Amino acid sequence: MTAENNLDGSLPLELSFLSSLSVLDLPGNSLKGDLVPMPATLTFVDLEMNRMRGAPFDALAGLRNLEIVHLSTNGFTGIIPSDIGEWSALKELWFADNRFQGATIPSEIGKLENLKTLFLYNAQIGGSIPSEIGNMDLEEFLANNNQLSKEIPPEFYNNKGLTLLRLDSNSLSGTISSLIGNLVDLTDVFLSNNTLSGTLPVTLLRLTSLGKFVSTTILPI
Amino acid sequence: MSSQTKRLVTLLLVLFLINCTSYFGAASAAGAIRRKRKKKYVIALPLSSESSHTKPHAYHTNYLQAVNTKYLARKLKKKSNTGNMMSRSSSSIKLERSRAGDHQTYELYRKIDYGNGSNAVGAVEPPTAMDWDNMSNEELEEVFFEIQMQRQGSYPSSPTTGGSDTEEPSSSTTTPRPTRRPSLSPEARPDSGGSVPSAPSTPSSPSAPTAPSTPSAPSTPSVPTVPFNPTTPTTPGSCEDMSRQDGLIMALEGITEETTLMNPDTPQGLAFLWLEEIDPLQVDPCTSDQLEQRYILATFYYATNANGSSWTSATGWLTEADECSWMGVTCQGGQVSGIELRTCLFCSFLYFFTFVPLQTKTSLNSLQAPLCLFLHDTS
Repeated sequence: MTAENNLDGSLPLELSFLSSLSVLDLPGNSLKGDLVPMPATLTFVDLEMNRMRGAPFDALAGLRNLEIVHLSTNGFTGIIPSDIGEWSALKELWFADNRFQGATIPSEIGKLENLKTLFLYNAQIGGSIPSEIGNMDLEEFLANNNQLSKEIPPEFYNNKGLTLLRLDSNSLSGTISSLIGNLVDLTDVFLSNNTLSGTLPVTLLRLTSLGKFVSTTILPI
Repeated sequence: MSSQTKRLVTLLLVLFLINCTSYFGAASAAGAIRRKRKKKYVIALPLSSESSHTKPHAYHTNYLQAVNTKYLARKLKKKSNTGNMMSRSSSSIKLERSRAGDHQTYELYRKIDYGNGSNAVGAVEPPTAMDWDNMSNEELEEVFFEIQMQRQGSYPSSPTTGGSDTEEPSSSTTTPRPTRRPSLSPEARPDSGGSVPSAPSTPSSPSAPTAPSTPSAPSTPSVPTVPFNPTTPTTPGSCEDMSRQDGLIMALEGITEETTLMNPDTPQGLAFLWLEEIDPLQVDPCTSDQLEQRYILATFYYATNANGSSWTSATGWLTEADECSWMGVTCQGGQVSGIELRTCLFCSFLYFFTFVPLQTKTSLNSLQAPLCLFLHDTS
C-alpha cells in the first residue's frame, strides 16, 4: 500500500550510494534543501510539492536512464542545462511552479524524442520556444505563466499527438498559425494574455476533439 | 436486500465519503497537501518489539538520551585510544546524571553500554547496584571508562598485565589512560608475555569505582572483568580483528567520513549508532552485504524525520526486519531499488471524478490508490 507520510528534512548525500536505486518517489512531503546527486540507475524521481531548493538539474546531470522527472511545486532555481538532451529515455519532465528565474528552454530539448509531457508553467522561464521542440512528440505542453517571448515556431505544430496546450500569460507575439489545424487531438488550448495578433485560423474547425479554446485573438468573421 | 449486503453498501458509502472529505480538504489549493497534518498515527519505531507502539517523539527522546550516553562513552574511549590525558567533561556528566533516574533511560543504558551478549569480547553486567543519581562526576566517568575498557578487552582477567598498571594516581582533574587498547595479536596477548599498552591508573577519587589497579584486587564488583580468551584466532589488521565499531567505520567510511559517523548530531551519526548498538539485526560489518544500504536508509530516516516526529508512519523502519520490508522500500535481488513515501492516498480517486485545473496537475492527481483501482480498471 502506498505510504502516507510527512518527511521533513533534507535528502542525505548517502542516497547516491544506493547503487540499484531506480525509483525515488517522495511527493507531497516537507523535504527541504538541495536535491543531492543520484545514482545512474535512477529512472523515476518524483519530488513534487516539497520545499526543496537549489539547482536540481545539476544533481540529475548524466542520468541517462531517467524516464520520469517530477520536480514541480518547490523552490528550485538555476538553469535548464543543455545536457538535458542526454536524457534520451525521458517521458515526463515536470518542473513547473519553481523559480528558474532567467532560465530558458534549451534547443537540446528537441533531442528528447520520447518525451510526452512537458510541464514548466509558473516557473519564471524566459526566452523563446526553440524550433527544435518540433522534433519531439509531445502530448501535453503546459508553459503558461512565464516570460516566453517571440513567435510560436511553426515547427511546434509537428507535435501531432498534442492534446493539452497552455501558453497563456506569456509575452508571445505573432499569429496563431493555421498549422494548428494539424493537431487534431487537441482538447484544451489556452493562448490568452499574450501579444498575439491576427485572426484565428479557419483550420481550427478540424479540431473535433477541442473542448476549450481560450484566446484573445479575434475570430476571422 | 440482505443485512450483509446492506452492511457492504454502507461500508462502500462510508469509504466514498471519506475520499470526498479528504479531497475537498486538500484540493482547495495546489499546495494544500503540504499543510501540517493534525492526525498522528502510532508508529512502529521500536528498539525492540515491545516498544513498537512508541510514539515518534517519545522514541526519539529516549533514543537521543541513549545517544548522548553513548557519545560520552565514545569520547572517553577516543581520548584513551589516542593517549591523551582525559579531561573531565563535567557538563556532559551532569547532563547524563540528570537523566539517569529515568527508568527507560536506564534500560537504554543497559542496552547500549552493557552489551547484549553479542559483543566479541563479552557482555558486561549492568551496574545494577549503582546509584546513578548520587554518583559524582568522577565516579560516573570512571564507570563509563570501565565499561568501555572491558568491552574492548583492555582489562584481561589474567594477572599478567604490564608494569604500567601500578602508576601513581593522577591529579584530580586528569587521569592517564591506556594509549590504545591492546592488539589481539599473539605478541600483545598478556598471557604470552607480550607487552600491553599501559593499563589505567587508579582513580583520582577514593570513592569512585576503581579500575583494577592491581590484577588481584578489582574494586568494582558490579563491573566484573571479562574473561580473556587467548585462543581467539585473529589476523592482525583484518576486519575480524577489529571492534564492531571500527569494523563499521571501515565498512562505511567510503560513504561517509568518519568524523561525520562519529557525530551523533548528524543523521549519519545517528544512523551509525543505531547500526552499532540498537539494530537488533546486528549485521556483521565484515561479511554483510546489506550493511551499506541499511545504513543509508537509516540515514535517510533520520535526515527526513525532523525532531523525530515528522513521519506519520514508519512501519518496519529501524526494526530488526530486513530493510527491504520497511514501508515504502522496494528491492530487487536484495538491493534497494525504490523508496516510495508519498502523501495523498486518494488523489487518483478524486481526479477520476472531479475537474482538476490543468495548472495544478501534478503526479499526485494521477496517483492510483489501491482502494480506487476498480474505478480505473473500468476506463
